[in-house]
Amino acid sequence: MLISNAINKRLSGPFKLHDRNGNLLSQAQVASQYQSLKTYLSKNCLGQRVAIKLDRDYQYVLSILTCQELGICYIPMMANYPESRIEQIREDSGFSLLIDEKKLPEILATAPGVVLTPTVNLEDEAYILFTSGSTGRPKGVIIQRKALTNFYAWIESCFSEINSNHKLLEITEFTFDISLVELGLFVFKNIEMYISHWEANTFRLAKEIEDYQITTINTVPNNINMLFSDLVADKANLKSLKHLILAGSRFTQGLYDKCLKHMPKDSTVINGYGPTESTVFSHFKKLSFNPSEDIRESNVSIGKPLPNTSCKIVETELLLSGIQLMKGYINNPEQTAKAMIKADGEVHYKTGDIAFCDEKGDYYIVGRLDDTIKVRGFRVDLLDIDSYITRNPFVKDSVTIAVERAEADLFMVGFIILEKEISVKELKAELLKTLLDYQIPEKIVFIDAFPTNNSGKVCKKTLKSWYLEKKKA
Amino acid sequence: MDILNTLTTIAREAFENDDIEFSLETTADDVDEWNSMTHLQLISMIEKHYKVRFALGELQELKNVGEMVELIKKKTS
Repeated sequence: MLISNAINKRLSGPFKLHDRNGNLLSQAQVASQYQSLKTYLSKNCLGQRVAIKLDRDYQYVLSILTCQELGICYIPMMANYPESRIEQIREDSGFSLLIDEKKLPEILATAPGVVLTPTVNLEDEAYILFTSGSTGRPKGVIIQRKALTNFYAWIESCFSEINSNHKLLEITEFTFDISLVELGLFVFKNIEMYISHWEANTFRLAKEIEDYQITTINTVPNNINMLFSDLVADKANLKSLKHLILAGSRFTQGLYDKCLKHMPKDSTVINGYGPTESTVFSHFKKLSFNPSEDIRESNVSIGKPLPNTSCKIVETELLLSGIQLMKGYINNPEQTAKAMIKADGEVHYKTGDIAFCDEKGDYYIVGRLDDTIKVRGFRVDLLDIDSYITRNPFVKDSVTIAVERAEADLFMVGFIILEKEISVKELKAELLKTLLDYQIPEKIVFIDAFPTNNSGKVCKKTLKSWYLEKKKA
Repeated sequence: MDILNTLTTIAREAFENDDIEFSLETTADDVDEWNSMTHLQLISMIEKHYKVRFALGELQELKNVGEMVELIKKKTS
């Protein structure tokens, strides 16, 4: 009952929660909405799955926390999900309720009443996150209550320096599991939470940090890379920042140097690592900023496994095991069997990440074994993107590659053989019907035929060289 | 060259797309290459070109290219 009790205690106050315009919400206002949500969900949804598709604001936070308290499995969605994706998720998960902007007023109009006490089991599903698959259908990762409980217990014990005097800027999409760090800090550390509306504008992010005197940020490394760029940092006063929790993509040495320059000596900077399949983080490292302790061969360490999590390296690939592993992919035993293997009497998740371990037991990630990349922190499987694109009636064939724009910032270039005439702009609009914006290649190049290598496979290296040469010209 | 045309030229270089055509109503949503990273590049190039320095507050609420044109006019007048 760790989660249920902690959420109930937090939302019963005192707490400080701000909406996306920075307004401090009154305890009474939040309490009334929380009680209505609780009454409605406990009456109608116990034992069922619930999808949440709201604008990123405090009501999203309340909806997730109420589900977590009641032990209702929730499926977070972004407000701009296309209808086709929602339907795919509905087919796969059979959710009984969609909390969206249309449904929410009805739920919040529910008179607070008797809340049925749910029987919550640690084996129950806590949430399902849909991530990029490789077959043109997102994979639903089922995370159980025991995994989330273990992760939250780590949040409670790891951040002893964080308390109600600190201020968190919540900037992560709730479809991205690192947002659970932010929710965990709110519930277990009573941190004051501001919901950001930075919308990918780093200047606005910096202004929010400055205006609200933010101490704590949890995000992907690239956002901090941009925040600490000379252009932004020279305009902003970022001195209030004390804690950075970074995960979701590579923590580069360049960013390490920037943190050294911009973060105070007594600050905490964490490099977290973990696929969605192992509940947010499987590893973390509190960086000491002594390079000999943090860096090997230009790789910043991801540290050691979380409690009740373990790992090993088999033929360079990092395998994870322990309580935080997913139950499996929803309705997808084939993909589950591929990803989770049994060895030495234990189940291991194959991360696809190439890793090594130093003499102190600290781990380092050096690359990928497959075609998966991170775009804005979201996992994208290039083969998945191609299988979506080639299903479009205007497209005959598609090969998507990743190109590096700046340090650790990748973007996709889609090479496409057309079936029917269409402009790049029109094609991108077509693709938005089935793909999310970050899944659509930033650059699209129409091509007559793909270059192939001796074995007849498409030569992605040649495509990349073509693109880079064309760019130079 | 007026400010709008100059911004179009700068944006084509920043976003590596020669087909970009700015209007006063253009927003980041209208240009595929306009993201958090390339936005920084665009602002940096504009500052260098016009030899101006924008404040954080001036950059946080820009809604479209028209507002950027107005801001440049204000900074260079």
